[in-house]
Amino acid sequence: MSDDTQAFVRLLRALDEAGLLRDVLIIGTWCQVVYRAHFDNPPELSQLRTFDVDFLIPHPLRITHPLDLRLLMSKLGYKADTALDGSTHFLSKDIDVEFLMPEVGRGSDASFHVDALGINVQRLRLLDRLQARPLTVLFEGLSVRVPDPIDYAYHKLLVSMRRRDKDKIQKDIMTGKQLLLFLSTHSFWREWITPRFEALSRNARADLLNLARKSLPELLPLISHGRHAHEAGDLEL
Amino acid sequence: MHSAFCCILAFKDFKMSIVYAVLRNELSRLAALRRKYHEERKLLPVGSVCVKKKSARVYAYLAHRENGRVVQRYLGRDQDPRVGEMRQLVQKRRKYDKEIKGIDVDIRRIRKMLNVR
Repeated sequence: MSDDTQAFVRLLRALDEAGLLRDVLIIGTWCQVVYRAHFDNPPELSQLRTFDVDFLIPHPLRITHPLDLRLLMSKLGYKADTALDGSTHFLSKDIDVEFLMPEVGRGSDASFHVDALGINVQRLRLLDRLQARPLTVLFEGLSVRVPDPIDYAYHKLLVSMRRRDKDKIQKDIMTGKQLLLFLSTHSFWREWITPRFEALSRNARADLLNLARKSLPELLPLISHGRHAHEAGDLEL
Repeated sequence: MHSAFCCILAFKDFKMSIVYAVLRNELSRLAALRRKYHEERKLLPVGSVCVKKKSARVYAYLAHRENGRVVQRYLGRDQDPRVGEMRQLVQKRRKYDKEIKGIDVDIRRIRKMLNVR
């Protein structure tokens, strides 16, 4: 196990003991690490990840065991740092940790103070989709929560359309495509690809179809197959 | 201030070793994926489906090269479902070829980053 994965597992154990792990979801590239482990390390899913470990605190806020997160993280060897928007980041030699929340309503540039954890968190758009259907899986002997993989793949594709950085756009598209194509080879997950697509908002569906038509034609039969293909095909901006 | 700077440098050194470890893992994943695609590709038909019109009827053939010569194997009438299946299999093989090419590009990039041959 590489140093970053060891640090990640140590962090998960500490959060589990503190009772926080059941309240948060692992998102970002590290949830792909969890997916890989859950699906028995298939070669189709990339091993690449960043140093940033992101946890999603679902909205509305519900922390069952309030704790001093700064103290817990400093015991694990993390240094607390404050970003320009006031949000708290935890840095270490192996991984950096950040807690995020979905931004709902009008939104704000400032971070949000979570009393129950004693930290400020950054709020981001589109994250609410990831908390809709959390999946609890076993990772290194721990019960961890991750977003539904289909929701995560659609989220990555939709986020790619809001980015400016070309490398990040490529990365998001690759992740979404890789995950959807892999899930389409599993009978259970394949059944859910179209229903999840149909559950998205009209604008999100139109965005995804336009993206698929432009750069991911192999996804078109997956996301709009069956009796709804015609309806979905009608959506175009 | 100086200690903080040293701390950042030390962090960077640690993180570079992680980058190498992750890239090495990614390289072996890509090699495994290439092997898997190559094995699956071997089971698929070589060549392409071509059609010929003879006295108002259209017939399909599977064309491929054998020892430099083009060989055509009769498949059936163009509307025959077996011909459609063969087209799909040929397309699938092409898809694998494209994927393997992409994987080769990634493997070359990562090898260059890791400075290995």
